This record gives sequence, structure tokens and C-alpha cells, in this order.
Amino acid sequence: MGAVVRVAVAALRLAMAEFVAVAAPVTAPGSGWQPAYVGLGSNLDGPVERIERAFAQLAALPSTRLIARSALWHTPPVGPVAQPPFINAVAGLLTQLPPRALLEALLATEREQGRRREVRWGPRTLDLDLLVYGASVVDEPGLQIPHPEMPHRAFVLYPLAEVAPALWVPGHGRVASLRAAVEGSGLERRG
Amino acid sequence: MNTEANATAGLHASLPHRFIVVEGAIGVGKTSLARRLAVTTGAELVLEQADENPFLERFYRDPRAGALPAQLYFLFQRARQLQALRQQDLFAPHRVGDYLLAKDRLFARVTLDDEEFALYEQIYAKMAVEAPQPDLVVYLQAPVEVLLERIVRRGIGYEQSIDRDYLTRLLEAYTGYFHRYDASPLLIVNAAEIDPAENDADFSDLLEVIRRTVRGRHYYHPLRSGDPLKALRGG
Repeated sequence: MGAVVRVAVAALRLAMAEFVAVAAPVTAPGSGWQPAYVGLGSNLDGPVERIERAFAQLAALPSTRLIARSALWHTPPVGPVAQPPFINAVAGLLTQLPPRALLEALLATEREQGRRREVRWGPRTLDLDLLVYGASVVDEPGLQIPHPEMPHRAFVLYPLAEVAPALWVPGHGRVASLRAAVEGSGLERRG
Repeated sequence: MNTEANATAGLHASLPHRFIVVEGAIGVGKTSLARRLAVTTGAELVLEQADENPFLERFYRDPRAGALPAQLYFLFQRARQLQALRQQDLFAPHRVGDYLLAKDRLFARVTLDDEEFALYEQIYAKMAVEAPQPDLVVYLQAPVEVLLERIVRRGIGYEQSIDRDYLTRLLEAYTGYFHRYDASPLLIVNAAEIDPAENDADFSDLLEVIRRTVRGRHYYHPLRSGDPLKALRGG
């Protein structure tokens, strides 16, 4: 008994030392993984390959896991410039990055794929939009969450409803209901 | 808990539950299911961080000598995480977790000898952890053979030395625990033949059953075909 207790106490000391050593972990205690949803879009230079590559890049982000991906949706282009149809999709992530850091990572991915931003509504190599981040509502320069235009965009809501049908978009409502309220004709689901 | 916050959460909820915990023995697929539930419903995910436990590998190498430090590390880690959650509880978003604090004691009973367990109990009592109460526990069940096969398939290095005896004893401990469990609504899922983390149909069937389970104890034995709700029997 005495020996067992001595061993136990030694082990306890070891555990306590380790406990103190990790008392300030990388992630704050209790800070969980936030669900975050990213809209992907492309209509230039092999859009399907670009979207596939973007999914792989999202899966490789630090402190982030790609959990669900929608099908690829083909969408007629919007706006005054003649251009090929868009491919759209949505990724469902779990992340420990704060919203701003996640946004920066998305912008870096866009740049890496050579996005040009000359023409609004014009052709684009790759668009990554942070749509929803947990229950967060953010309104800062350069960062609005939920994405202000998403409740009206069929090409976002259709794929988002595949990934997160039971998601409540803060300030707007359930994804399934939002999707039911937009016109989705012209959208075409491609596996 | 603040009733106004609850009422608001209820209105906004896509599921009626504010905090769902998925439990079950090693390898049954609870973390994968918890991840998918979180993304589908927009809930925050709270995972235990087993791979951060520096004593775990030592425990699997030498269970007799390595158990106590591994257990104590888990106890401190889980207590810290759950207590922090509770402090944020009032304005909490919806959450999904992959463990109950009770799991810690359940494992301790299996892995520690009597003297060690007595010591563990003293520490546990001293800590007086107040864990947040889930409003649904989803308990995934599968036989030892299925668990062993899934452990091999997912290939986490330190888990590969888990043996059948240890897993059998854990499973018995889980069965006993949930046999008596009445702290929250409980959904016992026979997960031997389904893979809700990977299979879309399995997942949406299970999600529908979860949505409807707001009180009491229920057993869900999914049938490969047919209406999943027919297999839901109330208790």
C-alpha cells in the first residue's frame, strides 16, 4: 500500500507539473470549433478545377477542418459583361481561427489563384466569400458577417442548404426557409 | 439559466436542443458525428483534446503504470474546458460536444487500481466541477468487433495497441452507466451497421430522430430500409 501511494503521489506530481505547464494552451479553455461557411465561385480558366483546388486549400488551412462540401452548381452569369457561366459551391468548415484571420486566409487563397478585381460583376478566377461564422454578427470595414448579400443569392443558398439545411443565419432565418424564398430556376446541380 | 435567453434560443433553433453531447466507446465514431452535427446545424463544437494528453501514449504502452497520470491529465483538462463553457453559458450559442465529464470517472474506474481510484476520487471531489448539463445525450453503441475494426481503419498510432479486453471492459462500463443514466434525455443508437458521419442517408435519418427526441429515454435501431421513425421506440 505504501509503495503504491508513493508511486501514485509521484505520478500526481508529474501530472500537476504538466497541468501547470499547459495551463495556457494555444486555444483558450472552452473555446470550441466554430462552424463557418464559405461560398466558392469561379467562371474563368477551368472553373471546376479551380473550385476543386480551392476546396483542397480550405481543407489545408491551419486550425480548420473541411467537414462538408456541396455539389457544384452551374449558374448563369449576372451583370452587364458577357462571360461564361459561373460554377458555385459552398464549404462547411469547423475552425478555431477568429473571423478576421479566416477572412485573411480566404483572401490569400484568392490571390494565390490569381484573382483580378478590375471589373465589378465581371469575370473572376476565384471568389471566396465568408458567408456565416457561428452565431457571430460582425459589421466592420471589410468584414460583414453574415455576408450581406447571401440571403438573396440563389447560387449561395442552394449549395448552402445542402451543407447546412438546419443552420440559422443570424438576423435572417433558417437556410432552408431562405432558399425557399429565392428564385432558383437556371441553377443546375452537377454532382 | 436565463429563461428569456432560452426562449430566444428556442425560437432561433434549428434543433430544439441547446447542448447535445455525443458519447460512446473508443472508435464508435462520436467525434465524426459531432463534427457533422455541428456543421449541419450551425452549432459550436466542443471536442475533448485527447491527442494533447502527453501521458496517453505511455498509458497505451504500459496501462498499469501509465494510467494515473493519463487520468489526472484528462480530469484537469476536461474540468477546465467544461467549467469555462459553463461560465459562458448565459449567452451561449448552440453547442455539440463529444464527451460527458462522467466519462472521466468511468474510464478511471476501468484503468486504475483500487488505491489509485480512491486517490482519484478524492481529487475529483475536491475539484467540484460544475459541468454544463446537456439537453440531449446521443449514446452510440457498437460491439467490440466493430470498434476494433474502426480503430484499425482510422489508424491513430497510439490507439493501435488497444486490446479487446480493455475495450470490452470499457463497453461494460458504458453500458452500466447509461443503464442508470437519467440526468438528461437520452438517445441510445445502435451504430453497428450505420455510418452517420460518412453516409448521407444514415445521417439525415439520425438527425430527424435527434430532432424529435426532447425528453425521456429512446432506442434507435436503424433499419437499412424503411421509415427510421418506425424504429424509434419510446421508453
